[in-house]
Parts: sequence; structure tokens; C-alpha cells
Amino acid sequence: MQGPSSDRRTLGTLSPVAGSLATGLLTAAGVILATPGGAHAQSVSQGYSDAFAARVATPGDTTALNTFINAAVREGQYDQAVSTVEQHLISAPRDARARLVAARLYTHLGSWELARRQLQHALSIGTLTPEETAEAEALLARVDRALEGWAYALTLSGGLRSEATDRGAAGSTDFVTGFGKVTGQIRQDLKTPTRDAIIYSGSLVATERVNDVDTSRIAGRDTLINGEASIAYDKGLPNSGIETLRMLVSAFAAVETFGSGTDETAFGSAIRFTARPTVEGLAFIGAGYANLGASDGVFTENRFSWEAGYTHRLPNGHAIGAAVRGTHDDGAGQSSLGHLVEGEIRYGGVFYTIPDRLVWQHEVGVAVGEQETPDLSLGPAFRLNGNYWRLTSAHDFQFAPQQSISLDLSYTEIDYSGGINDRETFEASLYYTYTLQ
Amino acid sequence: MTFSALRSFVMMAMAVGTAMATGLAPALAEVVGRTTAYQTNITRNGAGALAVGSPINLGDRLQSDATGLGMIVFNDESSAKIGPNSRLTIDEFVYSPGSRQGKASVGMQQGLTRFYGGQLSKGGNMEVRTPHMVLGARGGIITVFVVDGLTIAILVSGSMTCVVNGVTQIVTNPGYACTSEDGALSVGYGGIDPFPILDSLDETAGTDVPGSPGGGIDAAAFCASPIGSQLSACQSTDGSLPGFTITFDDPPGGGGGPTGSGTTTPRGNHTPPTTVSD
Repeated sequence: MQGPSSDRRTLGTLSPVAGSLATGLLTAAGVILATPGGAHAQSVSQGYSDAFAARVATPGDTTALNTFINAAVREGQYDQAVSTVEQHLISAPRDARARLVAARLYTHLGSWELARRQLQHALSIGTLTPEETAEAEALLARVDRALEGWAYALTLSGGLRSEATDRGAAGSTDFVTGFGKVTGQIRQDLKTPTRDAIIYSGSLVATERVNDVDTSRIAGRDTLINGEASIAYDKGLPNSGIETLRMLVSAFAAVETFGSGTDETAFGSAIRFTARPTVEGLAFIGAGYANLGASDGVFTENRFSWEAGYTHRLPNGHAIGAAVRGTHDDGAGQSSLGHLVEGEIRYGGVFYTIPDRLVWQHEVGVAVGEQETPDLSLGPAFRLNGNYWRLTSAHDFQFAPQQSISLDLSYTEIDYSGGINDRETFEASLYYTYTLQ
Repeated sequence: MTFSALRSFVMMAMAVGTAMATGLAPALAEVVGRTTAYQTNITRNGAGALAVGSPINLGDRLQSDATGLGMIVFNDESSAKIGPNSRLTIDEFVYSPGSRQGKASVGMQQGLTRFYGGQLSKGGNMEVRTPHMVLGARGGIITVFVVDGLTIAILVSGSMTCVVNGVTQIVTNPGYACTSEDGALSVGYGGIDPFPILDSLDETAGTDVPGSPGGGIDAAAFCASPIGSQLSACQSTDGSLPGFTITFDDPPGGGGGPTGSGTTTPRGNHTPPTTVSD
């Protein structure tokens, strides 16, 4: 009879990196995608392959295992990361830090049962640092809530936003605003094999102008409010013939104040279908309706919207996606008050990491579109028609599991027809976010 | 062709011919994976125990003894954590690293194993076949338990397709399980930590004393779950807690041949073993 592997070293630097990365990528999962890698892309993918080869060739080498786990997490190969941690735990079942890493990964995968077991083991071994113990206890509380069918996320953000607009001969404006934002989501698991759930979500943004430059867009010194609340039913339809088909039906209410007595209030509903043709791909299509009859100073009474798109995770762990979307407005006795049609391509992912300290995600996007809107100063019969394009760059610097600093940049150019001055707008937002889960 | 090259060719041809004539495994067996960790014995084709780094070949029959855990990693990055008293066969494995395409099929005759998807599973091209159920893992992790007349498959992550007698159910919620008892497919919640031995803190899972016989696979936790409590195999017959263990007739560490029959024992009544079904 042969004995077990003699390697009993701990997986030293493995835990915090895998954990923070997992948290960061979890946050990104709700977005269309994540970051550019450019020249790094190929090397990361090759690094992953090399790390896998080392994992198999030297399975007792904890450095090799650590390298592969981090590469796997970075590229979204969570099942391989879990497998490697569990391989190590066969040889070193009392490595509490590795148990904590396994718990983080299982939490990210939504496998609350195994996350709970690993956390219980990690805490019972008694070799975690006080910080790790606190993290494990907090994670265990979150896992226990999830096992009872409830999960929540609350984010608190605050920062500054700057906007500069050049209208050519019509002049230019610029202003700076401070803003605070609260978003929350509660997911109630309906305890079905297809992970059906009721999702309650809401957001509230309060914006206050900082400088004194008057603009036509933000009048006076009003505190502007943008809020939304929704309830959604998320249902899996795997036995429909499309294994990964899901349907999301939602109802929502939204309000946005623009100052000077102009408020947009919307009540509506939406439906969205998603499917994964491959593990790396996600296709979506959706439509929605909103009634704006309760608004003040807004001509639109009915707004119809639609969207369709596809995102694909690349071998380097980054993702690329394309989407088209549009809206159609009517009201004020007009069968068509305006519309918007837009196409967008995005690319993003984890751009850079400093182990145990920082995860930098970056996403770039290019959109082109055409819009028609009523001229609020002249009345619903007068329209502004324009073609536009927009370049966006969003950076997220996660420096702690619950904290990040974000920098969002965008440039938009609108070419109006009918002799109206074209418009160029540059926007920048810098804000801090704290997340509770 | 040089003389030495010709001699090498002839000798290789003779070696292959001899192996085929004597019925031995081909000398150039296709390596599809490696052993990367183990606590006790996992034997291959009824012969010696595997060591760390031992190759896993297409067609291999693997069997673990009554205690401990082991891990094998396949070329497509998928892997299997083999629990006690388990028997697996590598029935099919075709994988092209360049395109990351192919197909893998693992037979599982008995025991407890957790499968982790690799590149093949991402395209839905990995399956686990038990005597009672065909399972597909799509980009995820599943835990499979097989005993006489019964298969339990629990989704850990991703999605899992369960097929029994032409009936298909797809599970996408981690923690939910498919069961096949007496040819009937059921789906339901598999409970918290249904098979704790796979995540044991012991140096040798299943026993506190390495080398001593383990108690088999305790399914009591699963039997207490919503779906487990509906299984006839989980019904208590003697007033004890519901559940059962499976043990081997073969002594642990004895190489437990592939013909070793798995038997089930009601919890609290380990001797003599009795077969629950089949």
C-alpha cells in the first residue's frame, strides 16, 4: 500500500488573490462584459496553458498549483481552479487558507452548500489569521442567508462628474457635479432546479452641481434625482429545447428630474430572454414598454424599447460583445415623437493585477447611432435629428474585497441635420464604491 | 533508411505484435490523463496502485479502496476526485488541444466521485454513464454517487443533464440533484453537504487511522434531504436514522478487483451487509 503524498506545505499566497479576483469578476458579471488586454492577451492565454501543464507535471509543487489557480480565476475557468484547490486539499486537508480559497470559489459559483462546508472546516482548523477569520465568518453569514433563499447586494457610491460640451458657433459649456448613488438588489431563490428567483432592485442617484456656470441642461441649483425600482421574475427554461434559455420579466417605476419643472416619470414592464450557445457565449434579446404620462414638461407619453446582443468570453478571459438597441416614443398627438437606434461593441476584462492589493478592470466601447428628439423649446412638431458616435472607457480599481475606485470616460459627437450646430461632449466621472453582500 | 533505424522499426513491430498476440494492453496505450494526488490506493486494471504522476490510459478501469480520496486530471483540463469504494472506466476520450474539441465518456459503476468540467464539458461533450443514468456536465462540476439500483447526481456548478430511460431533465441550480431509483428519474434539492467524505479533514478520508478500514460512504445527510427522503433506499428499516453506507467485500488495500461487488448497509446496522435493492 502506498502512502499519501508527502507534500504538506500550505498554499501560501494563493488565497487573497483568488478571492479578490473572484469578487471583482462577480461584480463584472452583470455588465455586458469586461476589459481590454491588447498585447497581454496572447501571453495570458499561453501562461494559462503553461500553468496547466505545470499543475499536471508537478502536482505536489504548491507554487505551480498557486500559479494555475490564479491563472484559471483570471480567465474565468473556475471549475479548474476549484479542482486544483481540492487536489491540494487531498494532500493537505488541514490547510485552512486553501479551505478559505475553496469557499470563495464555491461562493462565486453559487454552490452555497460546499462553500459552507469549506468555511466551517477553515474556521475549525484554527490557523487562519484574525483578518481571514473575520472574512470567513462574514462569508459564512452570507452563505447561510443564501441557503435560506436570500441574497442581497448593496452598493454605495459617491464622487464627481465633469461634463464639457462644445457647440461650435453656439458656444460651449462645462460644469462639475457631485453625486451620491445607492443601488440595492435582493434575490429570493424560489428553490427550483432551474434557479428561478424573484429579484427586487432599486437605485437612487442624487446630483448636485458644484460650480456656478449655468447651463441649459441643468438649470438653477436644484438637486437632481434619478431613481428606479423594479421587481423581476427570473425563470430558467432548460427543458424548452434550448438548454440554457432563461426569461426575465420585470415591472418598474422610474423618475428623473431635470430641473426647471421638467420631470420624467415612467411606469413600465420589460421582458428579456438569454441563452448560452456555448459556455463562453451569452445571447440576449428583449423588449420593454414605459408609460410617461405622469411626467411634467415631457411630450412623450409612450416609450417602446428593444435590444439584442451577444457577448463572448475569449480564451484570455476577456470578453467581447456587440449589441443593438432602440427606442420609439409617441405622445402629444404625434404617432412618432422621436426614436433612437444604436449599435455598440465592447471589449473588456481584467487588465492588470497586483497580487493581494489590486485588480484593475477596464472596458472600452464604441457606439454609433441615429436619434430624433422633439425640440423642447419649440414644441413637439419640431425635431432634432442627428447621427452620433460615442467612445467610452471604464476603469475599475478594486483594492479591497468590498471597495473600489472607478474612472469612467466618454466622448460623444453628434452631427445634427438642418443647420443646427454639431455637439461634442466629453464626460468624466471619478467615484468610490463600497459594496455590501 | 539506415540499418539502426530499420532495426528499431523491426523491434518495435515485433514488440507490438507480441503484445497483441498475448492479449496484453497495447504498448503504445493512449495517455489521456495523470494521477495528481491520492490518500490511499487507486488501482488500475486490477493491477498495482497508482502513484502521483501515473498515466491514465483510454480504456483503463480504476478502482479505489474503502478509504481515502484521489484525483486524476485529464488532458482537456477536466478532472475527477475519486472517493472511497468507487469504480470508473475511461470509455472514450478524444481531444484536440488546438481546437479544444472532442468527446469524453467515463463509466461509473459504483461509489462516489466529483467530476470537474474541462474544455470538453464547455461544449457539452463530456458525459458520465452509470448503470442507471447518463449525465452530461456542461461547464461545471457534479458529484455522482452510484450504488446497487441507484444513482444520485448533484450539481455543484454549471448545468447538468440527466437522462434515464429516454427521459431528460436539466438542472441549473447548484445543490439540486437527479436520482434514478428503479428506473424512475426524480429531481429535487439534495441537501446541505450530502456526502461530506469528499471534503473530509482527515489525512485519510473516512477513517481517523490511515490504513484502517473506513466506514464506507455515509449517505445519511443526503437521505435527510428533500429528494433523498423520497428514496426507498433511504427509508429506515430498524428505527435508526435513515441512510445507508456502501462497503466492499474486498479488504481495503487489497487491490479490490474490478469485480468487487458493492453492497449497501442500513445506517446503524453495518454487519452483516445487506443489499438494499437490485
